[in-house]
Amino acid sequence: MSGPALEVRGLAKAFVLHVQGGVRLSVLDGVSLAVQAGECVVLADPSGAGKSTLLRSIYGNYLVRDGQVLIRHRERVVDMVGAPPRLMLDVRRHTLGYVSQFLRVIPRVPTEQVVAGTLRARGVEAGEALGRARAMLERLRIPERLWALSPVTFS
Amino acid sequence: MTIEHPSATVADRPLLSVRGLGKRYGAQIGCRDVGFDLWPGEVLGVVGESGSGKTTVLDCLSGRVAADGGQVTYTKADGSVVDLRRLDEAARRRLLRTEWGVVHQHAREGLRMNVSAGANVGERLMALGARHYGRVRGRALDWLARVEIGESRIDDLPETFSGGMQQRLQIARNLVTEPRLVLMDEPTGGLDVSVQARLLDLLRGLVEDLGLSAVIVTHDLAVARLLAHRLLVMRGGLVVESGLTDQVLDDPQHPYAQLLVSSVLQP
Repeated sequence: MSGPALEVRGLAKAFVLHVQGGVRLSVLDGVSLAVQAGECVVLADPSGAGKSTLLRSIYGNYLVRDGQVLIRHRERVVDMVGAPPRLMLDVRRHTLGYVSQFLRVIPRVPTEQVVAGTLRARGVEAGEALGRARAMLERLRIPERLWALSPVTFS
Repeated sequence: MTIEHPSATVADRPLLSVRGLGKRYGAQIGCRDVGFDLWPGEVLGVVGESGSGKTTVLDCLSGRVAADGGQVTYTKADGSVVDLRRLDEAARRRLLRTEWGVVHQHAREGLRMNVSAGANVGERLMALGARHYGRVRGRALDWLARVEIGESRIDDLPETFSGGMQQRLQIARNLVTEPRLVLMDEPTGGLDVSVQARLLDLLRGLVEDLGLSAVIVTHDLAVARLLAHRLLVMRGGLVVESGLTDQVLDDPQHPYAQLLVSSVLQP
């Protein structure tokens, strides 16, 4: 199947802060972007330009009402804007990852189980998920002695 | 290029479907026009301040309180669909015993206080037909360990347990039969932080391994973030906002949802 893996068309995002007197902050307006499979795109702009807002809007972490976020998912194209939550969860589980500055995990859960958890959520059997998690941790050069510890202890 | 919004990719029917659910207590509104779908393997969080109607919704679902209006349909394990509000008492009780679990906010309401901890856990297994004493006791021990209750306490009465232990016992009693749907009212309320983390991990593991679905009422947004796929925010008996958990918490739209999120430290 051809076409970009991700295409953003005319994306706008504004925040209305009801708690602070209804101030309206327009952060994104008319943003368009296409990313092909195998391509790595860098968003480079000064702080406050809306880079994180764009990423969060694509992921559905921020609610978007204007524009389209088209993602190739399970052999078809899905518009994340206005998609039912269940479909968005399926896209996140199988197609779209998100690496944030902050890691939010259940306390006391070992690192290898945190990593395996995303596979288990996809229905991968526990033993296989753990094996693949360990292989990935090794690849990222996280020392094996830390795998059984909670990641909150990490740098 | 075709752009689709396929609403169903895995299961084609929600486990639980709620429409227009309402309950009044005299002139007081318990909840009004509450509606949502819960899909297999999905955890729905219901958040809001006390008096917002969260518990009323849960009580209407379990049948503990009779709703005034609305529809609650449930897809049973055998594939048949039942309207819970039209189910007779015997059939409703059978469903609660076999396919559902209900964890009450106050553990005493969900426990039998005059029988031992082991019997509390074993009882539901026996209600499902387990007869072998050794096996029932073994399963009970296993579940007590999973909620961090020591083996030496199996023959003690729940009365002798602390509040937090009673809550863990109630959860073990409900999950031992591996229900398809669990309704939980503030499941981690009143628990020590260390036990709360263990319980959150346990619940998440069950969701992943068993495809368990759950409706969890909580006032703790941090618990909601870690457990729930989707959130309903309630106020004054109404659902004022709903959506993906992280979206509702990180970009709330409704003024009340914004107030709720901005009022806590690090949800």
